[in-house]
Amino acid sequence: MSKSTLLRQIILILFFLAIPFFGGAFIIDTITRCLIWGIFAMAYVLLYGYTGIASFGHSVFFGMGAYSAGIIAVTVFGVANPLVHFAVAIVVGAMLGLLIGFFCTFTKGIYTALVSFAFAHVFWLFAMANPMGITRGESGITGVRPPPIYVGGFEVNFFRGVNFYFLIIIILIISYVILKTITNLPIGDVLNGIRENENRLLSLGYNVRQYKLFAFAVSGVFSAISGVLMAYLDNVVVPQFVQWDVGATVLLMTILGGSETLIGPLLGSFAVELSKAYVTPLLGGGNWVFFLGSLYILVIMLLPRGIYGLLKRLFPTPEQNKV
Amino acid sequence: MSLGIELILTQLLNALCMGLIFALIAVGLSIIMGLLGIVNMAHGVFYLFGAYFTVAAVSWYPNFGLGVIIAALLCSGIALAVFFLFIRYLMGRRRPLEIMVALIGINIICEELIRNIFGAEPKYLAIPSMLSGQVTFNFLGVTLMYPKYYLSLIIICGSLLILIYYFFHKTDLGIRGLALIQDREIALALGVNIAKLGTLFFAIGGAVAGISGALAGPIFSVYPTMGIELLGFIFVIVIIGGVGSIEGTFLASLLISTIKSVGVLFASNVVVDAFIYVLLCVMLCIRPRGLKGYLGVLE
Repeated sequence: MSKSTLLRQIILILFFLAIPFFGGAFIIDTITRCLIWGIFAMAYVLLYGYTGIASFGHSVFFGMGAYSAGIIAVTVFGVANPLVHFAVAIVVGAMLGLLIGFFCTFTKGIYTALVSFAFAHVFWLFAMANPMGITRGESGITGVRPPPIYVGGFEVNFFRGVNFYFLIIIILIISYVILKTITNLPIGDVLNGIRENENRLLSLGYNVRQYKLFAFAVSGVFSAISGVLMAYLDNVVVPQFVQWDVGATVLLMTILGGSETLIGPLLGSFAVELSKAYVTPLLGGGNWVFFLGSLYILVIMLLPRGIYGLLKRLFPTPEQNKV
Repeated sequence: MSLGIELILTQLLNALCMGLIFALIAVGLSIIMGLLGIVNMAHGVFYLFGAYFTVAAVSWYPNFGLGVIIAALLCSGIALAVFFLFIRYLMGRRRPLEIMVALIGINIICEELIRNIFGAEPKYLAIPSMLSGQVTFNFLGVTLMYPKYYLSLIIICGSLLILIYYFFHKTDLGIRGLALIQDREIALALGVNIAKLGTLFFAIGGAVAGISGALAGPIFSVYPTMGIELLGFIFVIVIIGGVGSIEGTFLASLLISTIKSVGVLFASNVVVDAFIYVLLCVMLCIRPRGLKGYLGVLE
């Protein structure tokens, strides 16, 4: 990593750390939402952009992460410790990633999207059906957020307001570093190779399926973490978390931001969530849906390489100029 | 619950009726998927519009048959509009998944349009008076009461499906289409016009899905998310049947609907639905191309 890139990243982080000192509660809530979706979209792009697997059922990982927190915190075990929630969500995300990846890797290309869509439907049914009272059906599980803890007589809640915002920035940075490391390791090159030419990798003797399963599991883990965070933010887990349109939204964010880097999806999540927060009052509630729908169409028609690609074209880096 | 022979027979007839409706929706999707290689996420929209157009047409002029015909025509018009405005431009320029994303956008907009025009509450579509009431069978000592409307649905949908089968296996255009699905390169080299056939099949698929939406309206209720909710099942049917195969789609939809209607006698709805997805997984493991699919599409 060059020095200027590091400097730029530090400035970016400082900018986000400074926002709570200037913005109100609404801005903090909106940007928290953007960052959570950003973690989810970064997890998604490892699969979609790097490995070239078009999963359309990522709502499963997101929603089941949230539900595992909800089930542990409220309906079954009543354990309010957030570390337990995250640990279970990570295990659930990895297991579901392996399970769904196992079935999805029988298929290629667009058919993977169909199979994962079907899985999203199954888990949505599971959430709606309320088996043995653990998901509480359509009304969802409320009160997922861990209670405040007492530090030297002061009440501190890490999962609410500004504290939560800072916590999410830390989690986002950790996720980014881990995902970036994975993509820089040799295994990242293999994943890229699967996207570019799977048959060649097969002929070179790589066990492509194992690598795909690895990508599914890692993606599932970070998606589940973002699901837990979203459950804490809203303090509720509802079946809409598992519904297929969550998967569609993250796909939109990834394509809108640009699916070739880890930063692109973050840009996409900010674009979608900020426009949701600031365009809805302008247009009125129902019209936001029309806006979102046109966003899906226009991105594909006009901006296939996303915002990141557009920025790259408008402001080429020095290395690109040299070539 | 006692499992009388009457109950099982009734459920089997229901299965036939539902399966034929599923098959009508799935066949257009399957053909388009096999022919153009895109997943039409907007296919649920044709089903949805079919039902709502019938609701509107019947409230304007109370004749159910006329409503169904109007719905079919309008739905094929919408299918053509979607094809010419979006898919023709995007085909070849974007990856299939990206085209699918654009079609999701169309689905979202159409659903919201319906919600704005007709409201989010379920609409009631009356069974036409000519077909209301029950038919009583008396066969080998088993007395069976069955609604007339369901029986006429079986006849109408069945004859439509036979027509579609005939079209694809006996007419020149249909055979060209099947040739494209089975071996795209050879068919293209022999001069089959994929753009023309794609347009035609898209319009047919839209019309047929619209008809099934209109006919299913009186049985299931008519509400804005009915299309996308059904689409999950339709995808399962298409994959189990085999992408691009007409017989496969028929078989798979009958199989799925039989499991659904007979299964609810023994287990809860969710368990049955989950079992269908388990079936999908097993199918993918042992035979990814589906019951009657062609080698090379999925494997």
